[in-house]
Amino acid sequence: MITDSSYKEKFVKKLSFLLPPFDRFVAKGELPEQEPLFPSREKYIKHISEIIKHEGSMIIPVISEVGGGKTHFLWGIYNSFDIDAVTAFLSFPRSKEKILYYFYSNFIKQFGQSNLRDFSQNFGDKFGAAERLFGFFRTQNIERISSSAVNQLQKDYDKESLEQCVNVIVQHLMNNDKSQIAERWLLGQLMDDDDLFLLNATEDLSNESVAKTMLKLIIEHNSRDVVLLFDDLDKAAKEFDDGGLVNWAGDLNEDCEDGDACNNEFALLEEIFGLMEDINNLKIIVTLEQADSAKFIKWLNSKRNTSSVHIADPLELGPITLKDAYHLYFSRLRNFCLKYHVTHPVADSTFKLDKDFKEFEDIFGEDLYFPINQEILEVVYGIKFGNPREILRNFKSIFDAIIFEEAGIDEIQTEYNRFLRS
Amino acid sequence: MVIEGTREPKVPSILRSLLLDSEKGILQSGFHEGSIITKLNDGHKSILFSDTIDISEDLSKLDGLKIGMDGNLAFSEKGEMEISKEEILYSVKIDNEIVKTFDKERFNTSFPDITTFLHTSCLYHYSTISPVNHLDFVKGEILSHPVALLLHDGILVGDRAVIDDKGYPVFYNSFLVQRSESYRPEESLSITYEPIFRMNIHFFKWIIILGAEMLK
Repeated sequence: MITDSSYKEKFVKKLSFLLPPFDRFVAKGELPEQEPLFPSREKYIKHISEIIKHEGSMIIPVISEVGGGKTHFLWGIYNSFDIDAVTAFLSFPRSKEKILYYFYSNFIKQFGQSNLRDFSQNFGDKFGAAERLFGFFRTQNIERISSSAVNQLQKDYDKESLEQCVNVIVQHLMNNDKSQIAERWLLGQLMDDDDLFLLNATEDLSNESVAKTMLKLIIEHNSRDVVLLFDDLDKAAKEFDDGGLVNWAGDLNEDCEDGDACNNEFALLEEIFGLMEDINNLKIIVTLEQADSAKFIKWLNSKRNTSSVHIADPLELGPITLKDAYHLYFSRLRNFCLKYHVTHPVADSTFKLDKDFKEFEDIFGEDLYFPINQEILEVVYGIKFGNPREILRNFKSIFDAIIFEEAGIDEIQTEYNRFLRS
Repeated sequence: MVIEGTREPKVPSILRSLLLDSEKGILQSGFHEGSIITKLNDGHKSILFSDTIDISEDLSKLDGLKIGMDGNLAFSEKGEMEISKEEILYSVKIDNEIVKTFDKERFNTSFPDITTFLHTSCLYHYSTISPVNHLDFVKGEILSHPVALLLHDGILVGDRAVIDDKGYPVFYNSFLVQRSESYRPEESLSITYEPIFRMNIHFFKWIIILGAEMLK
């Protein structure tokens, strides 16, 4: 229990010179997000964890309005223990040039060294490296394992690229002397001629065919499924340079029919679709902004009957609930208090985020919401009904008013228009 | 209180593993599969690794790898062998869990600079007639596939070995077969997994590094 009666004064003082809890209101694809998922969205994670068990390649569109928490949701998938798959948060390429190397090098960065070693082990074991000679020893016959893998896989792959990839994977697993160089090659580093000579390879992964083969091998032969997460497909599609003629007219949508997109807006999606058709069992989750989603969903639906890729029904992230808003407020406040050792009811050891907050209201009263009150919290939720980014921005505005204008609760309550973004 | 005859007799795990012991008079006839080590009764010269052994009263057949010393030279040869009961000191099947651990730990950590010999070579041989001691030469190096015969008929098989600064061999990811002090004949041998095993060189009869050519 809180015994220091002056904690409110100290709390506001600390707010004024420390980074306030609501200053970060946009989740970014490049910055790992640790903030927990909104409780009302956990059901979507469970849904995704079920549908990705479906065999074969699959695309799952996630739709929400601007500031609706799409990126935050993707990070939720990335961090979730419920998803039994290797997840990688990737950004879309900006042009068609070296697109497969772009995908591979971005993917392998997130896949990591440890997963790569497990993959080499599993791959080698599948093609005979697990055999025990004389009951004890692992075979050292790299050529036999490589040729066994190539013979079994060549019908689905480009043979020349396959031979190079398999050779490097098997050396990574079995050849102690060259294992490190092989690992550098597999991690997508550009190799000089000497290194390539040592590995008995002619190309590194900057070769598009080799990159595609390697991506296919990892995704199809990894012990766990691979799920790639891409944010803002609609924005990336507009910026994507497909190598065609540049439209200097500027706004391409002007020439397009209502609700339809110009052809080259689908170039990126076509590239991704091509990859999903070539690689079996590739799962992709993309986010789309509500306003632009219709044309992309239409395009995806047009592929339903002709493509081998399974197109999942779009997942629409609606507004967050009032309970989520409470959760958001308390979790941010709690993190701030714990980080800077500030006394507050939410930092108390008895306070638990996963319990009903009403329970704590009985213990702490209105102090639980300090420096605002319950009414302000509910007004903030209602003013931009359930949009998490707007809710965070309004919390920020109120906290700024408390810090810099020394505004009191009464003042805020009487002049909401002045303090809140409507 | 346990009433006599109500409980099944406990079978020591070693009894299931010990296939033949000529000193203790144990012989389990039949065809055995698994990871089998056989120590020959040839005066500390050789041991056999195999995945099967067919034991009968007069002759045992196996298809495996023979490692040992011939004078001051190490040798290894593979193929089918027929050995009489008298030629075998003991033959044990290593518990599958130990072999699995041995196998798993082999790739658990990355040692990029492990020295693998192409041909089987002797690192150390305790002998009054033809001694060999190359321990100083490889001090600090990580050597792959070491196999050692200990005094008192013990066998030590490791994944890697390093000679430490005192000149003692340290075996990593290894298993040890040795004579135990049990008075029961069926427990005359003990088999243990040893993640790290360091022992004074005076307890070794010989240490051989198995050549990669044998494993192709």
